Amino acid sequence: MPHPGLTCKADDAAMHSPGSDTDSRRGLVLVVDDDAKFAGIAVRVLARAGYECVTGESGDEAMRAVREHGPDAVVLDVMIPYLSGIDVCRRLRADGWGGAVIIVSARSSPADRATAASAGADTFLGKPFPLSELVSAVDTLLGRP
Amino acid sequence: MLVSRPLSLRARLAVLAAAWAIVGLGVATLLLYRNLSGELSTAITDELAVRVDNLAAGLNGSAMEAGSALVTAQTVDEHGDVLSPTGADPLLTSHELARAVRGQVIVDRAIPSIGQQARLLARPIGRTDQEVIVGVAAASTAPIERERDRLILVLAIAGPALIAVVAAAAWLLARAALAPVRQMAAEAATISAARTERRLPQPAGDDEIAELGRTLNAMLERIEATLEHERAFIDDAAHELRSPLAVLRGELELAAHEPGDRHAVAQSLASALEEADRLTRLTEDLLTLARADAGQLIPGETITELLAAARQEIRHLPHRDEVTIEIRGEPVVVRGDPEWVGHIVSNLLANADRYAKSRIMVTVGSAGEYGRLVVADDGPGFPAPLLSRAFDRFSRGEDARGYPGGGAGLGLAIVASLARAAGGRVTAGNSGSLGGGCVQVEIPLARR
Repeated sequence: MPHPGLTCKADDAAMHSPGSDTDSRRGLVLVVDDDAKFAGIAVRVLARAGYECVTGESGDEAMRAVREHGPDAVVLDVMIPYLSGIDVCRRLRADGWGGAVIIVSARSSPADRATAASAGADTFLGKPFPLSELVSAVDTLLGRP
Repeated sequence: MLVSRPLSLRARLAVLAAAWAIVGLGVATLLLYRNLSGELSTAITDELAVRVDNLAAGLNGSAMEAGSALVTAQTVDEHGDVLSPTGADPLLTSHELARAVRGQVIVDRAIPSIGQQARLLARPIGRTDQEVIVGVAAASTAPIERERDRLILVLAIAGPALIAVVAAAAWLLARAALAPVRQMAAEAATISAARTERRLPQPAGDDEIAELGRTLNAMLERIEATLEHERAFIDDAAHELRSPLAVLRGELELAAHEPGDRHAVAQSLASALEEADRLTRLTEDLLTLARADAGQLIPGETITELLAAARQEIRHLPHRDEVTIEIRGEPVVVRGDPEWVGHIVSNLLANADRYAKSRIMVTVGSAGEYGRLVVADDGPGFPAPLLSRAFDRFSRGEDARGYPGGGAGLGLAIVASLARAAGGRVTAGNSGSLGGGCVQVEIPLARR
């Protein structure tokens, strides 16, 4: 059975971003959020910044997508079904995956941030946040100017 | 202004023990004093009686026993003349002599030859042809007074010391007995809303203090559970409010940065509008629950026909095309606001529509004093871990997350709040007529 969340949306997003620099792919980003609308927004803004994106809606889809696509960075919502974002991050780090992990969550207490950090996340963004912060975080973690 | 600080329980117990010691010691002293006085008095009287008996024996020619040197004895005739020892001053007054001629007389008074405190005993001990012979014996009672004074002195010294010892012992005992209470109080002072996992030290044993510890710890567990529930509710509410806000902000940002792309702008604005609607629904749901918590959901005298209300909601409620909603049953009139009943029906249908494969069955009827509404679907049913908390706030299955039509996990919680506010009850299960999830709501029938 196909996973509707695992579709590459960079090209679609790029079509909505005329004038963006889509010729030079800056890296592959996996966006995992069970809120399809938020995932779509993240994909659009990242694609406009030149990143290629794939999406997932659940924890198990995220694990599979990392294995199949080998993204440079993962944008992970915390409250996703079938493995939380924190569990996904923890497992990726336990497996030795060294890509960038950006946790995004509507729960953004100091305890939530500490939990994310201890799970191996590189950056935490509390929803709602300016989209420029997401792009900036990915740029910084991937060393893109 | 000086404010008197109340005594500690230990101090009060010590004072109480001291007070009881004073009362006890006073009563004991009184009894001892009276007993000792009586004993000494009797001993002196007996001594005097023996001496008079000796006088009587001597008068009768019997051998006289040697009496105590402390006792003065006389024999006098009824005219008051001292017969022996000759030449001595009479011990008896004329009045006492007159009484002694008729019988035994015991008098306590000052006697010049003995002292200020003296006792004399006189009685007839024989008679001649013309007159009665009276035997008189007298002795000082000063020894009684001395013993009394000594007793008072001993008690005056030992009493306060004894009272102090009793008070100190009571204080120490109270302190030892209350030590677990002090420990619990010290621990309780450190417990705050931020550290609700802390518990009071549980005193050993099965006495009242231990029971107090168990009771307080049980109370702390209940408080912790309540606070945890509240925290979880606030966290969930914040999450559910921030999520649509994040989408709303993102869509507006995208629209602002893509002003030239009319299609993208229109798409973002439409999405933002949906999120605004989602936020509105969520806010209204939270307000409904807040009113329920505050006891502000008060059922009026209005009544609602359940079957018609269900049909009305079914007609107007959007649902998936592949899902068919059937309704059957009989008209029943229940106590409850039509708006509440409509809200209940719409929430149950929305929940069933989310999980049904193709069918939803709505059944209306009555059961005893209640009107009954059952909504069943042919979906997978409630996951086992979710079943027991199906009506909890923000309770939802893994699949329900990110559901585009809402799915914050408040629908069934609102159904339960409204039904209970109307005096009804709710149950959820997986034994519905269609094999999937099944929610049953019962609302009291209207009075005829």
